[in-house]
Amino acid sequence: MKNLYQIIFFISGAAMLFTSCDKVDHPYVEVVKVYVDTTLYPNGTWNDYLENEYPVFTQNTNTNVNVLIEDYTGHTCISCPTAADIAHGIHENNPNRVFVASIHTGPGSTSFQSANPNNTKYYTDHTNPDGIAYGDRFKNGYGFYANPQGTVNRSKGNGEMFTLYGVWQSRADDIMNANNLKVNIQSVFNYYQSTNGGYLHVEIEKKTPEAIEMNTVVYVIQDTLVDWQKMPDNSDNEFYIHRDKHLGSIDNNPFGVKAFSADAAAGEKVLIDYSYKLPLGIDKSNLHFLVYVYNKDTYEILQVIKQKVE
Amino acid sequence: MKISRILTGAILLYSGMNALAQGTISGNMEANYQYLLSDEKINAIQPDEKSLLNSYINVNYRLAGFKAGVRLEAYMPRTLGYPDRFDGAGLGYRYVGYENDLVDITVGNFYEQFGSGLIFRSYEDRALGLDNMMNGISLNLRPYKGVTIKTVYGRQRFSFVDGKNQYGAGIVRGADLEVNFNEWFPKLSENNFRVTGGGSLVSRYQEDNNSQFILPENTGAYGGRLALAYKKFFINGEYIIKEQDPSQDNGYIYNFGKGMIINAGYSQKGLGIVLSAKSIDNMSFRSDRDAALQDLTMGFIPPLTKTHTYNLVATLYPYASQPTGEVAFQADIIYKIKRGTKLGGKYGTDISLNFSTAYEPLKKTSGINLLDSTRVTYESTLFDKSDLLYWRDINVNIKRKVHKDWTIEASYYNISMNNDVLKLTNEQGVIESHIGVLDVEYKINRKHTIRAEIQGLWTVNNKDRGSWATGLIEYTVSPDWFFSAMLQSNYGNPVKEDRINYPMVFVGKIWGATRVMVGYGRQKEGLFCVGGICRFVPASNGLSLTFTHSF
Amino acid sequence: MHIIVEFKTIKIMKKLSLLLASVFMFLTLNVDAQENDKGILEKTIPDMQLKNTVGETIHTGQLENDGKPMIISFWATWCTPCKKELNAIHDLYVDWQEETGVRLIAVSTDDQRTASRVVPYVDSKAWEFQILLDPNGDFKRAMGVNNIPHTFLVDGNGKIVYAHNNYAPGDEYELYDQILKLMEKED
Repeated sequence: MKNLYQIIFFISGAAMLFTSCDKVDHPYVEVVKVYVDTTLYPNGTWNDYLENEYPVFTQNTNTNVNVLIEDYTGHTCISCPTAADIAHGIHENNPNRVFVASIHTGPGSTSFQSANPNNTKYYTDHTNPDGIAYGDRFKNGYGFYANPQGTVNRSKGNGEMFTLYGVWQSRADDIMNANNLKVNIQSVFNYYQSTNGGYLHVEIEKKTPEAIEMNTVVYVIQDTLVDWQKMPDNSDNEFYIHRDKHLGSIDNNPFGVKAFSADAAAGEKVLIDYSYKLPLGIDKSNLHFLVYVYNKDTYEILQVIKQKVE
Repeated sequence: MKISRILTGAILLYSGMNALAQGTISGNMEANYQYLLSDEKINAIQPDEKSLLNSYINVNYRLAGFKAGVRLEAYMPRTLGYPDRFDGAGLGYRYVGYENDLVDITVGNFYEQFGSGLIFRSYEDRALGLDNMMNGISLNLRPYKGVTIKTVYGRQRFSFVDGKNQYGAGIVRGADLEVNFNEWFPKLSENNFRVTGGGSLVSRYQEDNNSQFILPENTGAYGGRLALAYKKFFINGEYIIKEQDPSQDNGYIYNFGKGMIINAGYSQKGLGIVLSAKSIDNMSFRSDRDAALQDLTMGFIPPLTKTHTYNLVATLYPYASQPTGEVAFQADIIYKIKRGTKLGGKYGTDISLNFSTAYEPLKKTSGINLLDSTRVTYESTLFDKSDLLYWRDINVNIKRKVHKDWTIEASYYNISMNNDVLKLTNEQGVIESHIGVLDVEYKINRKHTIRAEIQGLWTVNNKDRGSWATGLIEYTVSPDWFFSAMLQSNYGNPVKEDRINYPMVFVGKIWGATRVMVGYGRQKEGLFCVGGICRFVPASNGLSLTFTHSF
Repeated sequence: MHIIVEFKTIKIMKKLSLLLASVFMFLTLNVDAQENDKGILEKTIPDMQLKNTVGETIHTGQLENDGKPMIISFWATWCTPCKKELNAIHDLYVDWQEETGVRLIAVSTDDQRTASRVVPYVDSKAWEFQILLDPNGDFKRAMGVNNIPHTFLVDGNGKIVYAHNNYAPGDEYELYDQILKLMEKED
């Protein structure tokens, strides 16, 4: 019996030793700032831009809550085409109110997204650091355990944020029918051909008096891309049309910048400016932005709008 | 803190038990600890927490007819491969009950099975991370000799979050009646007949919160079973029908589901024969229609294949039942060649033959209008199979003690697995493989034994990851120690960089009912798909420690 | 974000130490019982109703062997060490019964997947043990069995005096030594 105690002490000692060895390199939590690249304006100085081309926003009269469906997908995931079709179908049923973002990541892993550039198939890496950050943040406790799964305005129906595609239409309908508008967004993007970039200006108005701390995120979405995809019958499709691919956030901040603190009053407005240089090889007509505001504590998306490049 | 409350509760229980020294306390505990390292070759990542621990302790108390028990579980955090919604420490299982000859009532958490489990089975398999326990009331009655009535009511466990059980959305209600006719008609036993019959009814209630369809809130399933035996022959079967159950698994169609399992056999001294047939159509029955993978299953659809234990046979291309539909057959022959005969040798020889196969069922759409408002997408008949092969496994196993100290066991398997359906790897179509295993045991003396296994797997046309080999050596010292080393090698992978070796070593010590096992090595990844949703279990490299104790 | 990780580690360690404390407590309990013959943890067989291979209902609490020792062994047709253990005991069974009158009850935990193989397997090996069926693991759970093989030795009064998990060739001799020890004590 003594041996048993010794072994148990050893086990617990080892366990505590192993779990207490984290080395913290940067103990200060970083404060997020948006960097605006003023060199993207070709027609003068930044002050010229602010005087001549900075947008003036009129009162936003929108009363509808829009829905963002995040489809967490992967190019070697066999059921992902089914989910992508369903998400796209829900968008087509309501093209002005439902938007889709296909995020290529798994729950804390990228097994269905892995790509080897030397392979003859599936060589493109569709992941990006912001998408992977979501997979990492949501891998525990949000119901994210497989691909394909998705979120509908990151709301928790039945207690879980991540759901299977069978319920996306129903969830989206519920949100649109409830139409509980808490925040309104409008935006303008000024694009300049010569620098292949521009400035996105977002005006956010808090409509609800509730004490909700809100952040805003801007997704850069590529409309279509033809590349390899594993199909539900286990065949390899070289010419699959990947839709609404998430390329990352406009400012590389996956969890965004602060829009309102909890004590902001209803009617308060905030203006956020971003700069964006388009990546090489993607045409401006194949890109759009999805601007959304979410509840910082629950991750629930309160409003989303689509902004085209041009 | 919840834990201190549980602890005080446990201490009170203990002192209370001390006072009532008449009852019996029994239980068991298990702890699984992993310390993981990163390993680039197999894409194993070291988790942030570095060490993972799953543990639980069951304590059961019985006094005359009164019974009660608890299970404390802890996931700090959960070990690799375990379903993801488990974390925290707390009370995972608790019940009180009373049992006597007539009645058996349990309030709280319980497990139960109706018949073969096809219509309802709530069970645990802790090694696989399966636990769909019920939370509610279970009432069993034995009102008359030979008659057993079981009733259940409650919700099933979905996950264990922050130390508390989370239960599924649907409410399960069921009743089962079983009659042993031999107790009513003793003439049957006199004539060497045995007849047992039974019927079950199970219903699930789940709110319709889907704005796209009108979903049936109460879904019922019912069926019956019959078991006959005459002298050395036996035949038993069960047939279950499930009404409209649109769910994530079947794409929200409104077809009825049906399932039938039949077993027949003959056995005598030295020979056993078993034949089985199974036909399943749309039988995925869960207590939450939107659940997937292994969550909240109500019925248990057994795979009609032999349970393999050798490493390459069991882990590379295993079969999993397809709840949306399959037609399967299995035949088993177990024969012992008598000792002292020419063929049997001095000690006799055991031969075991097994054949199992599964096909896609035929789904007829000729009379069906897919665009009509019924949302019924096909028609099918039981045991009507198409030509699409899902699985075929033909295997032979011969075991012979060739000498007082030497025993040799040789096995051969031919396994064909349709990867388009089972999705275990990235390959297309049917992967056929030949597997050979040689298992030799040598008794050094009364207490020391050494055993070696050599296994090889070759895929036809070098498909998928090509050929594999596994070698295993095990040294046991009765009754306390065992040591083993295993090397699994993908030596024949067509891609040279993927020819990875997976070595593992184990050491274990046993004191009576206590066992400690320490393992170190590399484990390959696994892919787990059910109904189109796929979960990936990552490869791992590191130390694992298992501690089990029964008291 | 790094600060949050620190707090989480402390929380986990707290929970870990509390859990281990309760584990220690139960083990102490058990140790006391094992060293004291009349401790409160003197286990008897829980009374449940299981079926045998001919469909009859057997009350586990009423299993007895005329005051002689009994062995209860949990096994399954897919468990290789379990089959080795029972086959090894089968080879020695005649001698054991002559010398001590011991009786072995083999409880099969095969579920529906392999339940049909139980009788054919037992018959092909010509075992003389009594076979009970526990398809949903109820008896296994009540006896506190973690994994199989797990073998219990029960004395003439229905009390469990020895239990062993795992099987290594040669364990059957250890089991027999325990039976002889039990016979000596009872004399």
